[in-house]
Amino acid sequence: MSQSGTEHKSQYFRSISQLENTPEFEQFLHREFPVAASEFPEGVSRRRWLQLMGASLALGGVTGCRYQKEQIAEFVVRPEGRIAGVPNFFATNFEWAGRVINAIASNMDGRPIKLDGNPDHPLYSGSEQIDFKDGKEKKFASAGSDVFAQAAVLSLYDPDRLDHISGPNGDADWAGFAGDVAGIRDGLKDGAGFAVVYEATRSPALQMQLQQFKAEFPKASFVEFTSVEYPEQVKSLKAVGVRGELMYSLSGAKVIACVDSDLLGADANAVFYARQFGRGRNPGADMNRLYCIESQYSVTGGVADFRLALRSSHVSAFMAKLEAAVDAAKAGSLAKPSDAEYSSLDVNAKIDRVVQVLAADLVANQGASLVTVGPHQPAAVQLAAMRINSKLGNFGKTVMAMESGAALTAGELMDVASFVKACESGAITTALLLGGNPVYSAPSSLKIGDALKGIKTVYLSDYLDETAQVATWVLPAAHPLESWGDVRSSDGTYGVCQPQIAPLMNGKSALEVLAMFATGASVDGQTLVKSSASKIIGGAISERQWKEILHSGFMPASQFKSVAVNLPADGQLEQTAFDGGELKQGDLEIVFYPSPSVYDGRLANNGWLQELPQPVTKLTWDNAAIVSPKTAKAFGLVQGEMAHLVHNGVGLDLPIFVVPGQADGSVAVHIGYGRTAAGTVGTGVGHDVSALRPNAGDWVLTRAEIRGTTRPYKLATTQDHFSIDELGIKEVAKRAPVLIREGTLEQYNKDAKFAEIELHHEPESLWKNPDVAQGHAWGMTIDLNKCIGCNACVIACQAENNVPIVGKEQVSRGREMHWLRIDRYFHCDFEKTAEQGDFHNPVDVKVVHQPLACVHCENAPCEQVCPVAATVHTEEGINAMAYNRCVGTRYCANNCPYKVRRFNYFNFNTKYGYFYGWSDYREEVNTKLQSLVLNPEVTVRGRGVMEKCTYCIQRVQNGKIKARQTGDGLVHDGDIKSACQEACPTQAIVFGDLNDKSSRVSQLQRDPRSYAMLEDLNVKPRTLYLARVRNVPKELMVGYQLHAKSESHGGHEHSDETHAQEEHSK
Amino acid sequence: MLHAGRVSRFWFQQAKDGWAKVDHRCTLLSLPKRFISPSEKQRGLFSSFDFIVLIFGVFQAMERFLFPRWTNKFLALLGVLLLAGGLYAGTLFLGITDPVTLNVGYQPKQPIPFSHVIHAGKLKMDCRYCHVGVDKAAHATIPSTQICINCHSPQSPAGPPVYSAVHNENSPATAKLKPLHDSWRTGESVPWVKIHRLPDFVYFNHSAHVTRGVSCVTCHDRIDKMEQVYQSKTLSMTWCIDCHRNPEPHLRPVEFVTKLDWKPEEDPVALGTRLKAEKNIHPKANCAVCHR
Repeated sequence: MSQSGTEHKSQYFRSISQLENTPEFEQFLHREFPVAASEFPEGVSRRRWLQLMGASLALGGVTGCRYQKEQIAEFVVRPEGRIAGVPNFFATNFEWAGRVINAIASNMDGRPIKLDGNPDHPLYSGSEQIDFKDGKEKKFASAGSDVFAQAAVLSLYDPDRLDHISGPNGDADWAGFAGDVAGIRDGLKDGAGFAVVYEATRSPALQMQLQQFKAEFPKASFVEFTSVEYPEQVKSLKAVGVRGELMYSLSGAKVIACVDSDLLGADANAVFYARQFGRGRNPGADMNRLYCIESQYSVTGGVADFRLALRSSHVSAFMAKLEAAVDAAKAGSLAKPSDAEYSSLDVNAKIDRVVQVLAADLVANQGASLVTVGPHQPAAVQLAAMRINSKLGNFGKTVMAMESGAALTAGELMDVASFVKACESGAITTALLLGGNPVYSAPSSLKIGDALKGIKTVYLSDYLDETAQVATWVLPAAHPLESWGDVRSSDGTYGVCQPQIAPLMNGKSALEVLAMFATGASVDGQTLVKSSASKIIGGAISERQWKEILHSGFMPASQFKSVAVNLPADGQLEQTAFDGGELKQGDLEIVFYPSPSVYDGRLANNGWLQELPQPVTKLTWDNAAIVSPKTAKAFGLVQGEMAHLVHNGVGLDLPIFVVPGQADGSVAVHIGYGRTAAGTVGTGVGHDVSALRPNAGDWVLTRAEIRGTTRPYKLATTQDHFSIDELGIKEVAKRAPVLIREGTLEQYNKDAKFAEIELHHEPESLWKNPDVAQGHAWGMTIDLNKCIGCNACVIACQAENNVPIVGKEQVSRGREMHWLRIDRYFHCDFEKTAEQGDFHNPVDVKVVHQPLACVHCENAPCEQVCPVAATVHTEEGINAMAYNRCVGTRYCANNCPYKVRRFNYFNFNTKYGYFYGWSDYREEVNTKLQSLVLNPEVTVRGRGVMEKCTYCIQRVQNGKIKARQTGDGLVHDGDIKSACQEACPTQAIVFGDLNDKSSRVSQLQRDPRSYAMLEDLNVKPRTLYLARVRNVPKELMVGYQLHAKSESHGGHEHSDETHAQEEHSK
Repeated sequence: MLHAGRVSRFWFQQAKDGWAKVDHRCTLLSLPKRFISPSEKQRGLFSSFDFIVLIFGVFQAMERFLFPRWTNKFLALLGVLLLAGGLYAGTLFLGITDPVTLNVGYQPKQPIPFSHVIHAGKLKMDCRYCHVGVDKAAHATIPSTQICINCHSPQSPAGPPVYSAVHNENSPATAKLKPLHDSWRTGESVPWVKIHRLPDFVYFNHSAHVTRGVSCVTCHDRIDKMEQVYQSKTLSMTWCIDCHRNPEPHLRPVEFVTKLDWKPEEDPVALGTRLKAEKNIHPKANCAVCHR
């Protein structure tokens, strides 16, 4: 690093590349659309390029003076309640990527195109925030959802899905397969030698079928298989006698301590927790406080009030200290923290300080606090957390042990390792594999692929994946949106999965296939689910009850009972000392996590998820070895180069990605990449790391080594794209504290307007200010205090607005098309970092997420430069795009200070299928299949056209039309929700009418924390942000937080145009 | 570039020397000798220069043929003709692509010669009996086969249905209904041809207009008088915007929107102004109204 410290005035920075000023970052700074952005992609052959060009010419030419003759294919008998072009909404529930999705599917002309949370579901309605009433009880937002739920519709229309049955004698049909099933059943007798391998499931119907199968064939083996398996968590629950799981209630928790636990991001209940968490984030006396102690920078860590970077392998020692401190605090003998500033302490003293403060805080909030430990931590650590919760009296209040109870007890199950042995020894000759792709996702030490080759297997699969290649029979699986099913959520609420569309690929669900084996006949899924529902309800279900369950999406009062835990007396953690933080080769840890975008790899063929910038790294289309700057420096690791990881004699090469805030000496790696048979999109994306973790429980590996290689590797990240200003880092540095405003709760209590920056002079405009007092005035607020950076809004926007994906190569050129991006800013203790003189290694790193889409300026700079008036303002303040007028000059993008405009360099979305560049998708049929996911309410943009967020203009227009068709003709607050708002689990995004003074959004815009981004430019954005407030205890504040003066409005230095006034004008 | 430079230098030379020096026998087409043989350096490359040389060479070979002097007076005429031709082509192009030419009068042949004159005119059926979506959705919707079958059920072996509108199996009317009855039997849609077609990037909503008092007749004209439906209005963007800017003459009480022969008893503009205020109608004319 050559720059002197003076060049790094900012406490905020985008990435290490910015600090280091790498050539790539420079490039992004100087040109919004980087060099050679107008060249054709390397991945495309010359031949394909010519085809593309030829085709676009043909499109441009006059194909006839009149429109083509178009036919209308009306129904012969119109289904009841169906009107062409009007979506129907159906409730459905299903298991997806290890989670339970409680969704409302919008079904447009018979095809599901969007999933959103079910706000009536007891899990979510219980945490519904009913405030900002306009005279009547009204629910505002939806329940929120996550990226997996939002992307589920794309997987449904994936042309790579398995569409035929292949048997030992070539392709077959279901009837042919049924004949074989009959043969297998005849040979089964009592079931010896037959195994059912299934993924752990929350579906009562499937469990019922398993029991029935067991009754029919008592000697058959049952293998429950989980790709993301946490044996230590299972062990700890077993130790306390719970046949189920722990569930937390964050709404009652004032102090939440997440120790290596990503409660808001990776947890199966993340959406529900995030919703409850968001409810407690209004600054004031009731605001909750989130501590996060973790190795990798997780979603939870990003939103934490206080975060400590600690190796995952040190968590055990930390918990031992914490438990002792809690005991001491309860006894009143906990030492008070010293007066020394937190930032002046050394590494170990910092940990001690955190333990002291946290313990005191927990004990002060007994019954309203919560300690969680990640599921990958050893059972003893999990038990320690349970003990602490028990000592604090949290059980039954913020922590519930839910007795879910699986159908088959552990004793009746065979584990995967014994199954493999039984296959090898010949004890098992036939196996029915119900999904899960074990050949890829089972522990690599088992070599399950070889074992399966030796026996007869029937495999139900979504794709022709790794396991399908060794199976005897491969059956196409139905997507949850195509099949009947049921599921019980974590709290036990029973919900039915109802098909939204007939199976596109002629698939069957696991339930139906299992029933085929159990009964020997084809049974309709609905019948099976109905009988399961009858069992839950305790008696034959009436037609009315059934219809009600289908309609509302859940069975009322079907929750599990929470049970008491019996904590064993033994198993106290040993107090061990932390080592001094010296980084030594062979003393590193590698921690694996399921990917935040493709989970365990099963969603690898989903382009939306592959291209989703991962929450903190903003990495797309890849996994990497994530290390801290200090670790990188110590071992000569360079971002953009490969590194060699060694553990236990096994070596693996992974690209290096440097993230500040990662625990020193800890390497974070996402699993789920490097698929060899995922499909056109997912095959060969990223690196398979299964070799490094031979056993299912291998989440934290210690004694690892890492070495840099000089082999370059291109990672496509979006972190440096759309850099704010050509003036470079200085300008970014100057502006960042103005873009992101945050303070502490203490600061907020002293002066709620701490985020306000008074402008030097009343800005004057050369343009006539628009008259906005009439009619509607649409606006939005985004609460940075509630945003957890989970990305649900990004995918929701993509699904709603037909936003295409562009592929890794195009992303690395800065051409990603997401209308809504989440800017991630790092934030460090600048004084300490400067003192230490090493800008490679920022001290006490924090993260702020800032979702940014078009802010709909009233004085929009883009409109002023458009030569063809393709982007214009509506009377209601929406900056609209008329795509057909756009000639693609890109002036607007250049003149946009927020850099939210996206340009179609290619026909990413049309003609050539939904995924540009994947030549296999050029067949007409596949293109048609993919285009079923498109929202017919939004224009599909072609090459050479600029596009950007429209505030979901289609929803606004349809909302207004609907209001006039029915009722009083008025649009009420909450009637119109933008897609991002609907998807947001914490309700950080609020959209509405600013001219309605009682609307939620106008109340929030009057909030003292609200500020306009870049308001000194006088563009008058309609989207305002609410400043972030960190509820950090005084003893853990770093310099700038301690010394922040409320009068200085955030304590940041300001750009020339702005300055702090001593007093507010108001 | 080099060659082009040379050529232009030649023309420049000519201009400097003055055209007067050049013989009036259109020497424009002949080249001086030095130009036919380029320097050694440029040989062996077939370039634009060589092409020019080739062309001029051909003319040089035809040195005997020269335009006589009297043709010079036609040069002006040629200019006039070119200008007029351009104008003509331009007007033709604009005329052809004008919505009036393109859209109005489009009358495709339908699989069933359905007569709106009988149904909407003589029988006075309400538009919404068949076009069920018109006040509920963006699409007015073409009736499903079932709606037609309500009256036109096919003859069964037991004889003609009691409520059937067309009785005789052998009557020409029944033959015309064959596509409908085929559809009913096979479950395939009747292949109706769409007449009023807007581009895909236009999001027109029927219900927004019909429920606010804009009659069917405003856009579709007197359908009840059309034996075979054709497009009567341009449905162009200007045409839409004209009404959005000045909606008063086109508004009527909602109960009369499907009454195509309705005439207001008072001045339509006065009525429209009153209805506009009453129903709080403020049509917008910005892009986002129709384009999303």
